[in-house]
Amino acid sequence: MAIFKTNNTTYNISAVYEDVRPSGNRMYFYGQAHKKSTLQAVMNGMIVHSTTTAIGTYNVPTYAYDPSNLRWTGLLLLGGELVHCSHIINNTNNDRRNNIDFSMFTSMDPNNPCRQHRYVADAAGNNAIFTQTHYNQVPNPNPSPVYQVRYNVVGELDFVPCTKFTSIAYYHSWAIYWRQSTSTLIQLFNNYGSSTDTNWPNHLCPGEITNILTGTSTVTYAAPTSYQNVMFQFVGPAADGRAIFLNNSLSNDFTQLLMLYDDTTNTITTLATFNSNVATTGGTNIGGTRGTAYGNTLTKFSSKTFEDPTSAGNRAWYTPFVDSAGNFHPYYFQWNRTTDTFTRNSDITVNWASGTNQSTNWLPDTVSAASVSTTYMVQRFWYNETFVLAGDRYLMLIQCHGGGGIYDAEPRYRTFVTFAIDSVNPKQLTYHSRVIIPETPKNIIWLNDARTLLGVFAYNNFYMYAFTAVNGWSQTVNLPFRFEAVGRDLTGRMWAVDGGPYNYGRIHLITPTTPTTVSLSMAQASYNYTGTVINTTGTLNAYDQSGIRIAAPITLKVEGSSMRLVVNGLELLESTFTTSAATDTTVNIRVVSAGQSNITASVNF
Amino acid sequence: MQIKIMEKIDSSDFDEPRQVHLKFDGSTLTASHITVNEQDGQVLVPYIIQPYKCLPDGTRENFIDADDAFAWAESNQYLF
Repeated sequence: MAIFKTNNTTYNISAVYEDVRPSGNRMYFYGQAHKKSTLQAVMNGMIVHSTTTAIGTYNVPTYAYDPSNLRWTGLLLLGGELVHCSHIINNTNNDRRNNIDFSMFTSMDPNNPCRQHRYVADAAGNNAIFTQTHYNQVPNPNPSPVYQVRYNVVGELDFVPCTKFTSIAYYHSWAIYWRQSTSTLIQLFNNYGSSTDTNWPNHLCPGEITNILTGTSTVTYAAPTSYQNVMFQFVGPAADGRAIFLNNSLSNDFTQLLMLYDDTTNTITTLATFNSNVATTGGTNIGGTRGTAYGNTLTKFSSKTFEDPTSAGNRAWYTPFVDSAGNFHPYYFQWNRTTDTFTRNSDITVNWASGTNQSTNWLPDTVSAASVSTTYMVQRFWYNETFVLAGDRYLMLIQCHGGGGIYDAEPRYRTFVTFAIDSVNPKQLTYHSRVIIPETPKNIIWLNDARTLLGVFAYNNFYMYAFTAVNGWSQTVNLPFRFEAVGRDLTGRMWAVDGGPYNYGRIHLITPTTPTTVSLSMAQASYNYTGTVINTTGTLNAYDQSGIRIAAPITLKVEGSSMRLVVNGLELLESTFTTSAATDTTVNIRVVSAGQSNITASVNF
Repeated sequence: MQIKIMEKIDSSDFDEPRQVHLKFDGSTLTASHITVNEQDGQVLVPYIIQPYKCLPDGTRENFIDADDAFAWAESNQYLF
């Protein structure tokens, strides 16, 4: 990982802005232009957004800059997966400043992920970069509107004012699905009220923005008042292209609605309601309700949809459910793509390893009793997600709390459990593995499209994990930074931003070719020096964030007088070695006297 | 075509009760909000089009008649 740029002054502009057009070859770091392909600085290139002010009109917030809250200097605008994470306060329950960026979860459709910064084009050849920014859904101290910025320019963006800038007061929105046939950007909207501290939490509804490419963008949403105390996720387009949303209650685990949003009429049709308590229906699920000990506003995010293995051509997904015994038994939903009808299966079997059960591994959060009047949006969540590795499908249960520190005392709160899904019967889950996050997980981000590389935000570190069939999730590195955002650009590079030494933002580049772990294993654990020189070896390897061994230049330095590196017959205190992706690299070492020595490693960029 | 004004009693602390205009045309139920402006007077803004009723187990049934449609709306106000 490399620290790419440190900012030491107030720029009301995003840390990174990617030109996401297919032809775009610019990245702007605090406004300064670089070539996207090589990251070389571009002379006399800058993004300005407006010619009427010096820099960054669209990002000027309506409140004073606060270094403890990075706001815009902590903003990444990238075309790939992107998650922001607030650290305004720590280890404090029931405070809306802990609210979680859930943009990534608002779409269950792998083909239509939520993107706040995207390229859109219609069949007539009109196209634009369209950006909606808001900071972490934290409407405090003042409601922060969604800012829309549009570029319809040809050529580079340097010094070109944006063609449209608007703000949507009192609404947050998440851009999910570009419907080509109607040229509308279908969104999820949250109405959080018309003034500071007005209690309009968890009010969500589908909606749209029209005229994105030309004219004046217009926002419409389906209902004058939103659906309350629910979470919406985009399931996917119906056969005719209209958008289907899952409406999942926060107040219980058994009310789910499927809703069709027609952007041409701005109306909703309910496709299915599941609103009956789950009886004992089979499997190991005993049904019932989980009770109020787990709080009354628990957001549950469903998995991405995938091909239903029991019904060719149709889709399926998992939705978290915890039965009256506190045991996780996710619903298995099936979506008939021909009729747009839905089936909810609750006869789920969960098999645990011999001598263990769920409470051995995982506990649902019982410390948070957040109410709708104190959280505004998502402060904590359950999330189950599925992925495939080597033809085998897995389901992972994740519990996060935006407060940070809340789960530190109980490792089972911060344990992510993975189940293997039976290849024939997707309602049968078998415990596969678990990983305990070292501190309270605040949010997660998938670092590859296969979802086998995971990043976890915490207050003090950003942890990275890779999944293997043998070991499950293994930590490949922790980056000791309080990241405000992590995301991927359209080339797949990973970027992060934290406060940096001046608290005005610092950009990090996390690249797959940059070693994140260096390992040096001595041939013996200790050596008994009796006055005769001992020739020995060490095994040197470098690994990337996936845990894959890579070739990299590593400088080893001996600290102490008892040991030397041996290179071409010379005894050295410091030398650089190039590791191999294929084999171990052997380092010749000589013990020359009694006493302790340390060998430190650093990566040469 | 039959019409009914449904008094919506929202359980939320944040909404005031409001009226919903229900129209049944023989097969489809349409719900509209009633707005008033100086130029046009009372205006109906459709926001729900429901060609069938949804049952709690995820299945659907056609509406029998207007009374059936309006009763379904009344008993499922959380959808409106």
